[in-house]
This record gives sequence, C-alpha cells and structure tokens, in this order.
Amino acid sequence: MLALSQSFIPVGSAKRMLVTGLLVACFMIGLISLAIGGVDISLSQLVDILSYGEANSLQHAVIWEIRLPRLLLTMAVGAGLAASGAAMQAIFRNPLADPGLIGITSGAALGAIATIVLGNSLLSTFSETYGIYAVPMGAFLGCLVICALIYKLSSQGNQFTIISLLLAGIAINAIVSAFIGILTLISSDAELRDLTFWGMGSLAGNSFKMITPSLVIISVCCLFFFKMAKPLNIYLLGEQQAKHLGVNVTALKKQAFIYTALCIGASVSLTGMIGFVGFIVPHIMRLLMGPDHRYLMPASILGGAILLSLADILARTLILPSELPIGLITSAIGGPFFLVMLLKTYQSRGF
Amino acid sequence: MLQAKNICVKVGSNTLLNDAELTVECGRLHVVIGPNGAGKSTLLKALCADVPLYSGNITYQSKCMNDYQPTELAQCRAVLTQNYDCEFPFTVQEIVDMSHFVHNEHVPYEQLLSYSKQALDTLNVTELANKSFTLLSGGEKQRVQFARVLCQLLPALAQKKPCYLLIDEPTASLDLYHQYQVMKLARDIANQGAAVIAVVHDLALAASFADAITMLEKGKVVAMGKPADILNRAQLQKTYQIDAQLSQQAEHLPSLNIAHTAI
Repeated sequence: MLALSQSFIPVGSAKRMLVTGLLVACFMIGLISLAIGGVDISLSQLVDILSYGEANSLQHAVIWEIRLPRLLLTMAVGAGLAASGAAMQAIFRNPLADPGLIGITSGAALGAIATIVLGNSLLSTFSETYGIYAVPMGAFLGCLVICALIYKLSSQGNQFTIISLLLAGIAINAIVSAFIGILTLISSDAELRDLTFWGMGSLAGNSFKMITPSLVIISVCCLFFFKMAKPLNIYLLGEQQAKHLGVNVTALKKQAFIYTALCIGASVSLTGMIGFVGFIVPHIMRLLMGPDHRYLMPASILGGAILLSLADILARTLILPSELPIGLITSAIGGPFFLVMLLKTYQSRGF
Repeated sequence: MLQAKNICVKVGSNTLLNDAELTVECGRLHVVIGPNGAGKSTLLKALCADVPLYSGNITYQSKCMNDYQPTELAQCRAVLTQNYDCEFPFTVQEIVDMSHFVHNEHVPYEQLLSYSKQALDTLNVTELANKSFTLLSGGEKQRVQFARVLCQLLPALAQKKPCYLLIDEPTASLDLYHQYQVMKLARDIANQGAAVIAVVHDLALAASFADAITMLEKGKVVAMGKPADILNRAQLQKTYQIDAQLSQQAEHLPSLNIAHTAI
C-alpha cells in the first residue's frame, strides 16, 4: 500500500507543478504581449501604467484602451476554444474531435454573418434589440442550433460513430458555406469587407464594453468545464459503463454541448473564425500529462490562452505596421499539426 | 432479490427476447447460458437498462428499476459489459479508482483507496497498477475492468447491503487459470451476499460454480434450475445439437464429455 501510494503522489504533484508552470508562463506572456507592439513600452513603464493608472500619456491609452482588452479577449478566447475542444474530445471519446471539425464553429459563423448582412433588412428588429451585441447574439444562436442538431444526431441509439459524426460535420460545413455564399452575394461592399475579415479571424478593435459579456460567459463556462472533470474521465470508459458507475450521462452530454455552444458563440462572435486551437491544445496537454481531466482541463485552459497570445504577438508584429488575421496563423500551424497527428494515429494502430 | 418478469426486447421487427423470466436471490450465483444469438447478452443488458424493454418489468428489492435514481442503483449494482476498451491512456489504478465516483460522499477516501487495493490484489493486477491501460493484453484488460467492478461493489458488500453484480462473459479472453479464478471470485462475491448474474459460454465452468442456470434459446427461456438438472444429455442435444454430458470425478470439478460422433 505504501509503495503504491508513494509511486502515485509524485505523478499527481508533477501534474500540479505543470499546471502551475503554465499559469506562470501565461502571466509572463501576458506581460510580454502588453509590452510589444507599434508603440514601444518597457516593462518598468508597463508596471507603472498598470499599477498607478493615472498618467494620461499615449502609452497609458495604448495599454488601457487597446492592448489590455485585446490581451484579455485573446486569452479568454484561447481558453474557451481549448476547454470546449477538450470537452468535445471527451464526449466523442475521440482525440481528433474539435468544435470546428464537426460544424459548431461554422454554425456560429452563419449566425454572425447573417446578422452582419441582414441586420438592416430582414433581421432589423433583432439587431435593434441587441444593439452592439447583435452579432455576438447571432453567432451564439447559430452555434446553439448546430449543437442541438449534433446532439440529436449523436443520441439516436448507440449507432452514431465518430466517422458518421465527422461526415455529418462535413455536410453541415457544406450547407453553412452555401448559405454564407448566398449572403456574400447579396451583401453590400462595406458588409463584404466586414465579413471577409471576420472569416479570417481578428482580435483587434474591441473595447472593454464590447468584450465584457464574452469574458464573463467564457470564464463561467471554463469553471463548469473544470467541474465536469471527474464525470468526463469516467465517460471515457464508455457511455454505458459511465452510466453503470453512477454518472448521469444524458445530463453530462447536454451540459457539455451547452457550454461548448456558449464558449464558441462568445468567442467566434467577437473574433471570427479561429481554427484548430480547440484541437491542438488539449492534444499537446494530453501528451504532457495524460488523459485525467482534473489536470487536463485547467492545463488546456491555460495552454489555449498561451497559444493564442503567442499567435497574436506574431500576428501583430510579423508585418508591421499592418497585421495578419489571427485565424490564418492558427490554421497555418494547426493544419500541418492535425495531419501529423492523423498519420501517427493510423501508424500506431497499424492500418 | 432481482426479479425480471415477462420481459420482451424488440429491435425493429426482430424479437431478441420473448417473455423471458429470471429471479435471483441475494447470495446466489445465477448463470445464463445458450447458443450464439440466444439473447443472453440482451437479457443482461435489459437487466441494467442498456436496452429498452418492449414489455415486462424488472425489480430490484421489489422496487421497479425505473423508480431508482441512477446513483442509488450504482451504489449497489455493478455491471461488467463485453465492451471494456478505452482509447485514452489512463493507468490501471485510475481506471479502478473510477469506481469511487458514486461512493465519494459517504465513504471515507482512505477506505476507498483500500478497496481499490483489495480489488487489484484479488484480480491479480497489482503489478499493473501504474501501467497504461491501452498497453495491456485483452485478458489483462478484462481483469482490470473486473477489478473496477468489484471495487464498486465492495462498499455495499462491507455494509451487508443487498447488492447485484451483472457480468457478461467475464472469462472470454482469459487463460484457463484465470477463467476458474474469476468464476470462483464471482462465487465468493455471491457468498458474501450479492446476487450475481453471469453470462457464460463454457458449460463446465457454469456447472462448476453456479447455484442455478437459465438456458436461453432463440430469445426464450427453455430451461431453468440446478446445473445438474439442466445440463443433461437430452437438453444439450436439443439446444446445442451436440451429444454431450457432464461428468465429474472425485475431487475434481465437473467437465464436459463430448461424443466423437457429435461433430
């Protein structure tokens, strides 16, 4: 017994160390991200600005009006995407599942683009009711519809496999791009520019007022995802096995889908399409610390924040004075990574 | 006591179980046998609500299964299914510890840990505790899952509460030694007060350990009773189309003698 417990405590504590390390790294990268950019701000200046917050200098405005809201949004979106990716991978018991691959993200895109294009005509009451939050609301509703559809499809008996789910995802993505195509055709020039940039993802130009609802939603969802860690672990044994071990499987699945819809809706609505974060981050974290969601979930949340902040630093600095769309960077890194993982999975299974 | 009355299970237009009945008292090991496709696994799945009933009802302690809270049943009933694979690299210890989930609130943590250790020891998998489940052989995986299921029942057994163990072909990928060891373990769990229902293919194993046997054929119960009464030459000929009978030498467990003209 003694030998057994001793050999286990270090494993758990090593995982806790890793999570702590990620927390520190996240904080450091946050500081670096605040310091880097078009206007040079040294770290000591940065500390002054953040702690006193009185001086009405240019630097002060840059930090408080531009970089800090952008950093918070970046971290929240990265965390939300990664956490919902981890949850989806658990619910489908497949390490290759991702909210983007199964069509949830494009559902949100359709909702947002419909609001952008039809906001002045068909959906005018909707956009008047929600004001500046109309596009986020549209994205969230689109997300919810697709999640409900997928939940329905995956709950018909036990026949719904990951293959049919991915195929359904392809179909959903195709249908959604058809609708987006139609909306693009009927949009005006200004709307067209809006939605093209939106489609490539951008973290720029959001005030605190704009990002607060998303920050709150994503934080709450991440908390709930973290609380689901134990049942998610058991769910990986199999749906029936989890049921026999006392997990309320139906409730667990519903919760996972609702929180995913909320997370993806809240992030995609403000930033546009940012692919692959929800897939890569849980994957790397699983390689580092194993499949236990009690550690995997917080690690994914922190890892998502770190990865997207790094990508954002690249996006802002690579082609100064303009900037790259963040979605291009994550897809450029994530696409090849996904292919390598796919190849490795098939090689290790021997077919 | 676990009681199933007049249960029918239909999938589409196929009737998988037709008017099946089963009663198992606590403290008894009840084995379900029958040829391929007879509905053995379906019966077990019906007993734990993995397949919906078309008609009939199932009661645990005279209370209908559907009236239980899921956690209430999980505290006193453990199920070992045929699909026990897991693609995620949990360690064996982590898999067995998953059985703590429903006991967390009313059993102290140290007690649960000692149950885990006891279960690992009983199934002979203590050395595997820190290994990744995905790297184990089929037989090792089955024993680890049995350890998880046993660990789930240990709190109820310790408190002498009525409890139930449902196992579907627990010996399917085991070597000879572990086949008998696992069946003896099922026997021991029954002796400690659980009602144990096991689907088993090996008739000699069934005859060696069962208190009672239910024989299924084409979704119907065709015979039920003590092993010696059920596993006779006429019944085996009728159900399995094979000329065979049980024989038992002194100080040996029963074995199946099969006529060479049978095949």
